[in-house]
Order: sequence, then structure tokens, then C-alpha cells
Amino acid sequence: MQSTPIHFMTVREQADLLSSGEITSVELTRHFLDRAAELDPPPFELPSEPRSDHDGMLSTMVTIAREHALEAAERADDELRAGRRRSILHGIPYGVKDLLDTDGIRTTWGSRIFHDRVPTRNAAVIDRLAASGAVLMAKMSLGEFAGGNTSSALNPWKLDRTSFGSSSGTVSAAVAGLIGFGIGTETGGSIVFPASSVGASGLRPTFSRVSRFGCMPLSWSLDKIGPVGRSAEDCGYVLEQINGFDSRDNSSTDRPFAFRADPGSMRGRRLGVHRREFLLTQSDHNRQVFQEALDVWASMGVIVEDIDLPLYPTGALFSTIVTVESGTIFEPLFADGSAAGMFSFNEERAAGWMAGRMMSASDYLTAQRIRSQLTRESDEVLSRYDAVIAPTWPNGAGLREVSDGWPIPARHEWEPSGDFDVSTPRLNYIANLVGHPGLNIPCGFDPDGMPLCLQIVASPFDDQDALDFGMSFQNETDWHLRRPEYPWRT
Amino acid sequence: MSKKNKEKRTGSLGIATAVAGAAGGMTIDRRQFTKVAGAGAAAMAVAWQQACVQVSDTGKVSAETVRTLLDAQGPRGIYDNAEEFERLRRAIANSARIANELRAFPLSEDEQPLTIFRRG
Repeated sequence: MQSTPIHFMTVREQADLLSSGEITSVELTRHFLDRAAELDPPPFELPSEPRSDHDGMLSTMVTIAREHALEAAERADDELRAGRRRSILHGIPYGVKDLLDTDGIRTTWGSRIFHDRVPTRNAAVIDRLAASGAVLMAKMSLGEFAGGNTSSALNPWKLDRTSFGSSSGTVSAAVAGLIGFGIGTETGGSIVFPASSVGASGLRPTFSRVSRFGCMPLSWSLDKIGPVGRSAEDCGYVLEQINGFDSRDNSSTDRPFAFRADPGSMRGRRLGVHRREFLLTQSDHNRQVFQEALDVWASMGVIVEDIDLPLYPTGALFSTIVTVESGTIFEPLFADGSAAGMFSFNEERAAGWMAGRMMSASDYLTAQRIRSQLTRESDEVLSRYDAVIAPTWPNGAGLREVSDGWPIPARHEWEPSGDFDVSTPRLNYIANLVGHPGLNIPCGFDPDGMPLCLQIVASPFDDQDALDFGMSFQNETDWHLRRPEYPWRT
Repeated sequence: MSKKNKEKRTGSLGIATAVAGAAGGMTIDRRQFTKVAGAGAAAMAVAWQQACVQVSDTGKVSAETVRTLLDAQGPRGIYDNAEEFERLRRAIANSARIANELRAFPLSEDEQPLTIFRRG
């Protein structure tokens, strides 16, 4: 049996090699750095510069921090030699979405307006990962200002397909074996949607579990930071290191998370199936894939039941809350005129932010009142189950389009009916609005060979429950171990 | 007025300077500023309500309403450009349509808004 190449290993497998001394952190880090430099060097002098010609590259990285990474790896090795192992992440190289401040390493927010911005501080997550011994190796590409309307990185399964937004660089790199693990951010789906498009395992933690200090805000009341990896277990190990109270983030809560890698027996656990979303795809093949995934849990003794979710105007809620908060956050761009430097495909978004600045406080608070009611109702539904599940997206990744040189998702390829179906509640949007944790895991492929994925949602602070369902599924299947081959298919 | 007294009247915010700049060089004190700012806020609230009604009636927002909203929030910036202005006009119409949708949503009068402010 052929062993797994190092760059496709899970966190635990990399950690085992490091702790046994079979490989040093410098060797592991150099392996990833060399692989990234060979297969996916930041293609542009200005990485956020629009280009349509990607030369077969994925464009997952804005900046490769080679010297920084090798120095950190040397320190990690020194400590390992001295018998000090900070955590399971000790010595493992990771990539972080270029939205989190990194001291001395430029942080562009995916925008040419900030292409030379070099912070003099670390985001809280970066400090926590440094304390855990992990090695920062790259800043990952993203949609400008975390825009979900752009997939800055290409999809390693097929270069003409979208990798959605906005954490596309992080998820594509994780699946392509370019980083040990990754960090993404999510406001309304920016971890789980791109993770779904490439078949990565990605976790949106409970809102308030992970400090957003030092991360560009898009919406103070919606933003989350979470791990991306090659297994659900990877996500648990990373969340354990990055969670925790931080007085610098108003939303932060002191509810420590200790990860348990063994999901234990699943017999008797309850899984709510939002069946209506399983029927959104028009493909019999895809429906079969999703059903077979549900059957895996049923065979473990999990009690699988169909459920209904409350129908709320989630699109209107997101639009109101995000545009008002983003309009306030990005007011300086309008005040000094630098908004003119945003990419042309973001002009509509910028106008939306400006419109958000004009919306009445009363309308914003109405949205937050409706959100409060939705929170209570969805909490009640979740309280009857250990987890609730739906396809993260009904179909595999659609064709990407190019706007202003950037690949963007062709939304009509993702939505089976062409338009967004507002009559079907969407688990993802509800979970994001009310702060539920959600784990994306691959469960098969569509007829074009693109990954299909499920999102497992649990009650607030029950992140472990979502991970248990993910790990138990991955213990029985190998979808998460399938890898795209280089050169990437066109 | 001495420089010291002027600073005392305008405070450390430099608002007199800012408003004077916006008003073409005219210098006003804090009390006058409050009146101007209050009128601006009221104009924005009225214009926003107007936008919601216009969208409900016609599906569009008038250019005049957009200009009122734009001027009430500060300098026009990139929206001085005709193409950008029309883009903003569409965005305001969309936001007003959404606001109307949320206003029509059945909501308990006891429901409080979710905010991130809390103690303890």
C-alpha cells in the first residue's frame, strides 16, 4: 500500500512524524514552501492585481513568508529537541486568509488599496497559533474585502470551476496539499461554501468562540474565524488552539473548548435532516450521493429524522445587517475617495455599503429583532437533535466566470433553478445568522467529478457534536482522502 | 476671538473647521454645528423614508431623493460621477425594498434587538 505523501497528511499524521523525529519542522516547512513555490507561486507582482491568465496556477497565496516560516520552524525544532512540545500543531506550517494581521508581513485584505499594508501587530489567532508552536508560512488569497462574490483562487479539481468565496485560497491550498492546515473566515458562508466547492473539511465555530481581534471586520455581529483542513479531526485540533476568551473582542465568550478526537459511539444520537434542501438539486446522481451519506450514519445506529426549519427572510436580514455594518466599517474609504480603487466587480458591493450608511437605525434594529426571534426558534429546533444536516450546496462547483480579470462564481451554475429559491429555508444562512457552528465535509462527487459536501450544524458551543458526526463519517468513508492530481485538470 | 478661546468653543474635535470647510469657509460654533448636524440627520431620516415609499410605489428611487441622502451623509466622493450615482441609486432602491420587506415581517412586540453590547 502506497503511503500518503507528506503534503497530503492530516494534522495528526504530520504531528506524529514530528514528535517521532522522523522529520523536523524545518524539513516539513521547507517541503511545503518548495511545493508552493513550484506549483503555486504568488503569480502577480501585486498579488491582488486582476489577471485572467493564471498559467495553470491556483493563485492560492498572496504572500509566501519563507524566511519567517523557516525561522519559526527552527525555533519549533529547538524546542522539540529540548523536549518541549507546545501542542499537536507544534512545527506544522499553516496558511491564513490575508484578512488577519501579521506583524511585519503584509496584510492586503485582498485589495489593491491595501497591497502595501504591513501591520505592526498580530491578530489574536496568529498569536494563539504561535503560542501553540504552529508555523505561519503564507497569507492566503481571498475575495477583495472578504467578498463572497469572488473566488480569487482556482479550483484544483478543475480549473474552469469556481472555488467560491471568500476563503477560496485557504481551502484550495488545503486540498491541493500546499499547507499543513489553514485558517479562514466566514460572515455568511465564506468557509463552508468554498470548502464545499473543493471538498475540504472546514469548520465555522460557534460565534464568539474565536477572537476576531486583528482581523478585518466585515460585520461585527456576524464574522467568525475558523479552521480548514483535510479532515474533521484537523479542524478540531486547530479550534482547540485558537479558541478562547479575548477582552479585545466584544463578542468573545469564556467557554473553553477542549477537543476530543474520538467521537465515541454514535448509536442513539439524533440527526435532523433538512430534507427540502436535499431535494434542491435536480440531479438524481447527486441525490443518491447525499442519501448514501445519510445511510452511513444510519448504519451506525444514529437516529435520522426529517425536520423543518423556520422560513425567515434570511437574505434580507443578511443584506441589511452586513451593508449597514460594512458601510460603517468602510466609511473611511468613501471619505478619502479610496473606494474608487476597488475592483470593478465590487462597485455594486461598494454602492450597497454606501446605501447601508443611509438606512435608518430603526430598520437596522428591526433586522436585529427579527434575528433575535429566529435565534430562539432555531435554537429550539436544534435542541431536539445532536446535529442538523443539509447539503452545503445542492450541486458541485459550477463554471467560474471572469470579471475584471478575476474568476467569480457563476451563481446560476450553483442554483438549480437559476434564481435563489427564497421559499426553502437554508440551514447555512440560518446557522450563520444565529451563530451555530457548522462543519463542511465531503461525501462524494457529482457526475463531472466535482466534490459534493454536507454541512453539519450543532447547537451553540456544541462544536464537538458537529465534529463527532464529521469524524464518525470520515472513519467509515474515504471521500476526505481523495486528492486532485497535479497538473490540475482544465 | 483668541486662539485659546476658539479651541474652547469648538472643542478638540475640530468640528468647526470641518463644517466650515464643507460650508465654503464659513466658521460656525458648536451650537450652530448641532443645528446643522441635526438638520442633516433629520433630512436623511426623511429622505430614507421617502425612498422606502417611492420604491413601494414605483419600484425606483428618485434622483432627488438619492442626492438628499448622499449630501446628508457627507461629501459625495465617487458618487459625483454619473455612472456611480446611478449604481448607488439602484443600491438604495434595493436596500429600501429590503427594509420594506423586513418592516412587513410579523414580529412580537416583546422582541428585543440582538446587539453585541452586554456586561458580565
